[in-house]
Amino acid sequence: MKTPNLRTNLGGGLDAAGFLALYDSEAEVLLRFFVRRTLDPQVAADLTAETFLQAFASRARFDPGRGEAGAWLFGIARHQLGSYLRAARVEQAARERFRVAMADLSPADYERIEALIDFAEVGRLVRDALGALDPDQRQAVVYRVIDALSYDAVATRLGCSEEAARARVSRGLRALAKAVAAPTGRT
Amino acid sequence: MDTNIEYLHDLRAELSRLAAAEVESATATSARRAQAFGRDSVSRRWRVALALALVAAVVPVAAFAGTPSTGWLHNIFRSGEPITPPRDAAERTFGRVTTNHATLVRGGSEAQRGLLRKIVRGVDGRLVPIVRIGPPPLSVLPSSGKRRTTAWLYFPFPAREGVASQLAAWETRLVAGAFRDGSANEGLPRLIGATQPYPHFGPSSEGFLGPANPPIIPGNAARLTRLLIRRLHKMGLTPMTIRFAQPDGLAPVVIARTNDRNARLGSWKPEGWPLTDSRYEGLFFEVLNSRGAPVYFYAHTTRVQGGASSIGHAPIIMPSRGGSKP
Repeated sequence: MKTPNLRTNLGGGLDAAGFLALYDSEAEVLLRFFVRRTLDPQVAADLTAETFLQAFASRARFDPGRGEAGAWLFGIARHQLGSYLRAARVEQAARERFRVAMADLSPADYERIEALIDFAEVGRLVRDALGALDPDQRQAVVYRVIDALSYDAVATRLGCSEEAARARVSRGLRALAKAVAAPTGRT
Repeated sequence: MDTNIEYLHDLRAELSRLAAAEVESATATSARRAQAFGRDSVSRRWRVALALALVAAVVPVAAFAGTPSTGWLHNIFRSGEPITPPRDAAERTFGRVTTNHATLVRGGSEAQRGLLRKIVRGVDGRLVPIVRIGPPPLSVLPSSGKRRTTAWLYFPFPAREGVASQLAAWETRLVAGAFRDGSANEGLPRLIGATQPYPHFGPSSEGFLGPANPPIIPGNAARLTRLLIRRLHKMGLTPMTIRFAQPDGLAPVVIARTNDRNARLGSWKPEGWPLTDSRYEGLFFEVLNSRGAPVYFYAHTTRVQGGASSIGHAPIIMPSRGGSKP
């Protein structure tokens, strides 16, 4: 999506009005981006708030010559998502810095954000991706994720070592995540 | 913005507030620079002439108003205007910002939000930036039937430290008390408690009795300011800040200075009270020493009674429902 008519300061950077215009055009897109990758509305909302506040803090460094503001924003979003996936918690440095205390989602918002996920589409992607996995990896993922077996039990059923079972599950999940995330781009 | 997700609207409001504060700060900086430039551009001779003219103008005014140290107080006394801050706990925490700090109100019904918005307009949104109306926590009231007919206030902001934590706790109680009694008057679900953060032991829930509807009087800010100044002088204190929270009736925030050079936190106590009339909404009373360090404070709310008193460098609210009145 091309970001419309953003006002920038001379020599780069987004001014306040330009930043709010960016928010208006990208907020829901960004929220959808997060919720489809985390499948958790509250986490997605927190990531959205943190991303926009980080962007607000660094908007003077935005250089329109290097690309549009939406792409710059999604660069920050991917960084936030990566941190979340590594640490299993949402950063809150920007919210603390600006003393912004967002309330938890209301039940109505929870449902509205969940509706952005489009579970039917995600389900189709997962089914397709699972079908495309190497049979050993697929079986390992099914044993570990769907049947919730321990790695020890997965290894026994697959007739391999525990390390090999872990590697198959890990590679399988990575392939699934890639399949779910890649075709949707920013959405 | 075309979305029906409330969270995104709230986030936008926060970003607008930050942007507005930044614009304001940039405007103030450029005004200061312009002023400095103006000063530099005036020749030295003109500056001397200006200074002489100012002295000539100020001397008779000072003589009319009294001594330079008390003249401004006399003027306030005469006009009945509240004394405006040097610095209070909120300002020491967040700096002086003059934009409108509207408290965010979430949850509940339209009628509940309307009532709560009316109340929070009277308190300082810097310390109480957000409040949510919801059913009581399951741990407090497991019965689903009662949970539907009662309400609870959640103050989910980060815990403040030091005196700012006292002021925040005091303001949340002012809000909760006025909301509890307002809800009763308007036939809304009964408020039975609130949860708010504390610096050392995290979020804590407190149940409220009532509604009690104590005889709160609307009050007159100018008259009450004059009364407080007189009382502070009798106590040997110099008034520094008198401002009012006004969730419904008046609740003064009084900051005064002692000239006692040995005053320190935990060792100093006032002789008397600046306010003894518990028909007002409450009192927040802080005393600083000559270096500006807090040596004493006391907080009281009339509707939802809870005492909060000094001692220690990281004071903790004591959520006693009995409380005590000034």
